[in-house]
Amino acid sequence: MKWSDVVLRVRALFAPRRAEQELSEELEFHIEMQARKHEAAGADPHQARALARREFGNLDLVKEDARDVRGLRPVEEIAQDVRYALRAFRRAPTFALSVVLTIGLGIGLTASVFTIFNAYVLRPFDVRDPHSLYSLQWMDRVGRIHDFSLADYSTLRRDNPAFAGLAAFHTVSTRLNGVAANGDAVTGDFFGMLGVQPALGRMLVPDDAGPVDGSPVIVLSHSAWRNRFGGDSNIVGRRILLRGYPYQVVGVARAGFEGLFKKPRDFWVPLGMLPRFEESADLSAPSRPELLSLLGRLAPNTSELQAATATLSKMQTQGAGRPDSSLAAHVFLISRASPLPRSLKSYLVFTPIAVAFALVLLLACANVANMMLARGLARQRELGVRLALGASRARLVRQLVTESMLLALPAVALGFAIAWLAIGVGVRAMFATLPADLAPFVRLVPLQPDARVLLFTFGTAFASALFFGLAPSLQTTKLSVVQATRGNFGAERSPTRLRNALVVAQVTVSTLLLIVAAILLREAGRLGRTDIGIRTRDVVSIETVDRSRAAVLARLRQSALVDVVAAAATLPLDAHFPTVAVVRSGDSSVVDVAYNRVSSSYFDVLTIGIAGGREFSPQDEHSATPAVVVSETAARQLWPGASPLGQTIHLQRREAGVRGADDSSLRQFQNARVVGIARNVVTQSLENGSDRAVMYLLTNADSSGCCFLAKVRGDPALAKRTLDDDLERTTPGAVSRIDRLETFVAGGVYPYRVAYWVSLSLGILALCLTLAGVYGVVSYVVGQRTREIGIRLALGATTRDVLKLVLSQSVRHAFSGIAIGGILAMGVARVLASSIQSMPAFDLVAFVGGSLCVLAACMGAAFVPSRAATTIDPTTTLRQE
Amino acid sequence: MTTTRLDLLQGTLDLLILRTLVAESRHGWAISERIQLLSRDVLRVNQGSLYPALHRLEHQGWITSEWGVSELGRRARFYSLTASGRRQLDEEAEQWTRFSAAVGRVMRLA
Repeated sequence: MKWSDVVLRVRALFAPRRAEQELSEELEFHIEMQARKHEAAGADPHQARALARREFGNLDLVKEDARDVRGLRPVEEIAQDVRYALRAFRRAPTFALSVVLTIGLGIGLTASVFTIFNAYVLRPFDVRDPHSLYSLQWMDRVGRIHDFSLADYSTLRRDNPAFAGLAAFHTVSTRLNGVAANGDAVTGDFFGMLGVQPALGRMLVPDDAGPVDGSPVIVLSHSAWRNRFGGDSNIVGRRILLRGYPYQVVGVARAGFEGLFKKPRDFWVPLGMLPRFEESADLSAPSRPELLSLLGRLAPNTSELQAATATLSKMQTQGAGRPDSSLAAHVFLISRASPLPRSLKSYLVFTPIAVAFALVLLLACANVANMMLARGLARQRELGVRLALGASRARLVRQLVTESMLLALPAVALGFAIAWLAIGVGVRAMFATLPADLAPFVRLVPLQPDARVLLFTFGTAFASALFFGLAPSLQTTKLSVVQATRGNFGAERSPTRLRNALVVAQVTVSTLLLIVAAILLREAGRLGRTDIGIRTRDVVSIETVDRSRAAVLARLRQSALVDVVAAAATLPLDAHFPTVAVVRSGDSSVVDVAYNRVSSSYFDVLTIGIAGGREFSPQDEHSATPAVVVSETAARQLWPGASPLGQTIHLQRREAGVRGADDSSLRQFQNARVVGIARNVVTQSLENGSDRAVMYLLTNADSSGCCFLAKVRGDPALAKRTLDDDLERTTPGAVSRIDRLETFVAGGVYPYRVAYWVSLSLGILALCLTLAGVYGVVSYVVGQRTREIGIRLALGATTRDVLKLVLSQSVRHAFSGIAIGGILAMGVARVLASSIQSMPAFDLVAFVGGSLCVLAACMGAAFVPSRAATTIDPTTTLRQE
Repeated sequence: MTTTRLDLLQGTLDLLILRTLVAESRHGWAISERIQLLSRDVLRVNQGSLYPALHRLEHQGWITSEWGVSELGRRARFYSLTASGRRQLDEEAEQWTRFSAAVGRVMRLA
């Protein structure tokens, strides 16, 4: 297209009146000149003018031709189509309304998933140039992933041109005003690098490393300030307690910045405060603990690969002299532009959810396509007439697609509103159904829809409109002019084929969704019923800081509410147990076994049965050879076919200088003797089941880093609250976390419940759409075959025969759909089962239940309109022709 | 005058319009008069196709238009040739010469 062409068309588009006027004036001038010529030749003025007009021909036709050159035809035609479509909707408001509602619902659901995806993956953090921010991690030669030590950090920081900035932090969790809170202990350049401004006071600066006015400083997040301190405008300068230590608030971060992670942060303290949160965390210890997460800003014109290579070479120099296996082999840069990096992994997490919701949208589109098709067939006469009057098929298709687009526009508004509502209701419902003790730990990033969501909604609506508008309009305009002029508007067979395909697709999708819902429901039920083997109902776990440990233990032992107190290094059901390399006496092979350090009353508090030997006795604490109790599975694995009792094991220290978690508390357990076998219990997550090999090592109840487990009397929830208040009074800041063990169990089952509710709602919605689809098709078939059925009845067919005739097709559809849906569900079940241990690969009950549900619903939906067929009166029907 | 008027061959109108604009810019009526005059009244431009053709040529970028004052003092739209229009004219004139020569040869010799 030429530039002059574009300019002229645009001018004509935006100043149509001027272009039109100029054209008239130009033609008028021509006629006038011609008239003057005739006048000069001797004609009288009046005649001259009439002659000139006659010579010119049809003025309007010339104008029309000239207009065609300007190319405004399409615009005018669209306007015409829109007007025509609006008139059509006014004649069939129910049709228009049900299309808008169906599509709006589908778009709304899809848009709500996209809103979440957008908030976690697409929307960049509100900091300076978020796309150049990266988290760093490195992998050693045996494939272990590491963070960084303080020494690594200072090496990487020194003349490193790959990064414009490099900050370090360590994430800590504690309680702030009695409610769980997350924070980061950060280096002084953290905020400078991110370019985050304060809403009040100031952010942390490099000088904050040392104590200020004798007390360390803290910066609060905007929402922590609003929600936990009531937005106190005098907050700056106030002292607050964290873990019993006072901090001076120096500032509040501006709204919109809550850290660079999935879990929003509530506060930031200088990195030097880390030992106050994790007492064993000594950054400058000779063992060089790898406690630092690094956050870097890539220098301009530096690629990820360049930065990773530069970091790797620095890490290798830094690690010189260490054993080969713990040398850096690889450095990862993970984008920190959004809560979840825009990586394949993030996309894969969202794919199944997105697919499930998109399927519902597809169903909605299929339903609307069906309605459009029915409407198109009903309008055959109108279309035929227009075709006969000279409209091209392309023109008719454009007309019908315009109608679809017009219906999609209000659906966008509706869908946007539904997404907004669904997210609000969903979040509220989640917090309402969460086990109350878990609620403070669940944090979401802000989920409000933005321009990107709106754009997505428009895009989806546009694509849907093409789908539900184009296919039926191509189908229904397949009329030949000859047929149309002859008045033969009978439908061909192919639209029926399209309708059938749509119904089968609908049955397929609803079968798939309902079977998956059933599988998840049964899994949630199974997990809820799982015998975890330990007492959880009235056990309260208490995490405390080391300096108050003795006081807390004494208080717990005194408390009338507490029956027995035990201690464990790792809380069962909450975290993964660490592993240690074990060598059996008389055998040189090394086995990795999960272990937990527990006090002697651990088995008593959690009522874990002893299958052989004995549990720990008070004497074991002073014995020269430490005592060990192994789980049944561990016994079987370590000493197959032999009794483990009395055997000794050697716990291998890691090679000297190897970086990584070397639990110094294991030092005393060089050699240990097995004194008992404990029953298998669930120790980690519910899905992993109870058959894990575990080794229990005896430890003192007051040893560092342990949590207390208290068996309480009376109502456990009340006991927990009372204990919490009591401990806060006697030893302020000592308790960093207090939970009922029951909460962890509920927390394990909860995600399945959510997944079940989501897939069930989708499944039911899908089923409703399918019902409407089946109902529509059967009604249509009955309507179309009225004459045939009338003849059959007249010839003596029974009601049964007629029902069979009409229903057999629906049965065929239902069975095809259920079969395809079942096969797809089998695939989904396999994927689920491969990632969740306790889930069986094939859950017959779920498959049969889901399929029967769909089958029954389809039959029901088909039966209602097919009964109409049996009431056909042959005489009336036949007379109609 | 007993000369028969001939309808223009398809496509030749564009060529003639471009040619009439070589010397000076003209308005629509002047263009049609000029063609009529130079062809000794044999070629008569159909008024109905003149203006769409002018607009089409303008969209092609071969001619431009501007409003000016006609010899009788009335506002009129004057068309003039652009550089690319000149090139187009050369090309079309060339083609036309070859075409008419070829037709002439066939008529003479066949």
